[in-house]
Amino acid sequence: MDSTAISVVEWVINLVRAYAIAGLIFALLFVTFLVKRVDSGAQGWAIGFRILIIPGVVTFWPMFAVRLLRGKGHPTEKNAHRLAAKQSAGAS
Amino acid sequence: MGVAYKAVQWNRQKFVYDIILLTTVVFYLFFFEGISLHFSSDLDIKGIWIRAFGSAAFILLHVILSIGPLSRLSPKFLPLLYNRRHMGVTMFILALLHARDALAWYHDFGNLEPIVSLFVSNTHYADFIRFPFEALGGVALVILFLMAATSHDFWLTNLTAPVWKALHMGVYLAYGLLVGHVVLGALETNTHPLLTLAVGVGFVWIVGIHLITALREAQKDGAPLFGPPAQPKVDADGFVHVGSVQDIPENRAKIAVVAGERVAIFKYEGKISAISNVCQHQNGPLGEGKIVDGCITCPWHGYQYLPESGISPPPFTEKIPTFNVKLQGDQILVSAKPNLPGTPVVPAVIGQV
Ligand code: HEM
Ligand code: HEM
Ligand code: FES
Repeated sequence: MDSTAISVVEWVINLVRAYAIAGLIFALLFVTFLVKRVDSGAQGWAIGFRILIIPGVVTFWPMFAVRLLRGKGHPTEKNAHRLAAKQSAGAS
Repeated sequence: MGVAYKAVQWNRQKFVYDIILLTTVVFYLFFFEGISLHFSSDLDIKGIWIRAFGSAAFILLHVILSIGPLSRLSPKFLPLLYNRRHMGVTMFILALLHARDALAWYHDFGNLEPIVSLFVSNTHYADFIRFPFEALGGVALVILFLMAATSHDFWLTNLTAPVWKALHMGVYLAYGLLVGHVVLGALETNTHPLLTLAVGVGFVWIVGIHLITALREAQKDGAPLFGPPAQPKVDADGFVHVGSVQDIPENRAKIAVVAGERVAIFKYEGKISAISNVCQHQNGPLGEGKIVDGCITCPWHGYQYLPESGISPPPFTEKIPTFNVKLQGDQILVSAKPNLPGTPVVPAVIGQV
């Protein structure tokens, strides 16, 4: 077995682990205190919902961190009609 | 709809589907164990469960991949579409159990951690037959994880439906990787050739129904399958002819392509209204829905919108782009420019000029 390959793989796996641990800490804070700030759909305690989104928050935590820092809520989708509507509203 | 998240929006129907799903899976797993032990009693029980979990996940993936096209070919399959989410999560859990057992069985020896061993114990990355098929399974598992982790409606809102859907299209990549995983794995572990044959049959089925559905959809849009869609003719006032009032049954819609996307043109109470066909929830086809209690009701999960404004009735807050409409005799004309989401539009009244 190739020892360089092993150390590269080990290094990458440690990197992924560090990202996930940081994500888990963020996710716990996020689901307990912060989720309401980005999405008003999170109301009351809804403990099942909060637990269910933890794996995804661990994965996508930088996206939520940026949104919270900018004080923004969730975005609205962009599609052909919405873009065209914005364009013609801006033009007139 | 988009108000107060819960873990699962349970209803009786979902409950029944989940019970059927879980019983079928458990029955399959024990059936697989029984058959394997019957035919070769010298097999290790751990090895049997690796195969039982792996094959259960792979079969369920075929079912999941069939639901989309089938429910477009016939509305009879729509109830399966509503339940696809729980099927997806179930199949991810089965795949995870398979991978966990396989890692413990084949890689938990020596001084390497199992996960490191997975990627380095076979480095024939340039060889076809000896290719490290387990790495293919590993990458597929990561994709399936992303889909399962983002399965709650919270993710649709926070990633937005187009991004979320793009992520879901990753399932086809995962499927391709898994076909490689299973076929190469079978070649390497000398499994029965029947397994390879079965994978081939499954592959032809999946590709086949997707092609048939794509052809039918393209026909409906009057668009060529490849290349840009035909642009509808726009008249001097910026309106597009979309057909006749007689084409549309009461409380139903006709779908036409305007401004690069489908528009749903509804007929109800002697009036005509047009809104974007794209549901804000998961981009379901609103024009294939009905007007129920005065609201356009999405055929996929029942989100509702007022036909005159494209706004969901309170307490909901979704908004869809609307289109100005007018009538010339029984001919319907729709503006080529969409209005901002939630803009009220006066419906065209049938029989009034
Ligand atoms: C777990 C939560 C999931 C939900 C809520 C969900 C639901 C959906 C919906 C509504 C779409 C878009 C429909 C369309 O464009 O036709 C979609 C796309 C898709 N999802 Fe999921 N799914 C989930 C998980 C999974 C998983 C884990 C798999 C498979 C491993 C999967 C397979 C698919 C497929 C094959 C498509 C695209 C093509 C189609 O059938 O229309 N889904 N999903
Ligand atoms: C890290 C991820 C994975 C690893 C390490 C792994 C490992 C293995 C191994 C070692 C085999 C050969 C077993 C044998 O023939 O005794 C196998 C077969 C198989 N795997 Fe995976 N796998 C992974 C992911 C997946 C996923 C995500 C799926 C499907 C959703 C899957 C489906 C299958 C199937 C259907 C077989 C053939 C089963 C049979 O021989 O009856 N695997 N896998
Ligand atoms: S797509 Fe889910 S309700 Fe329309």
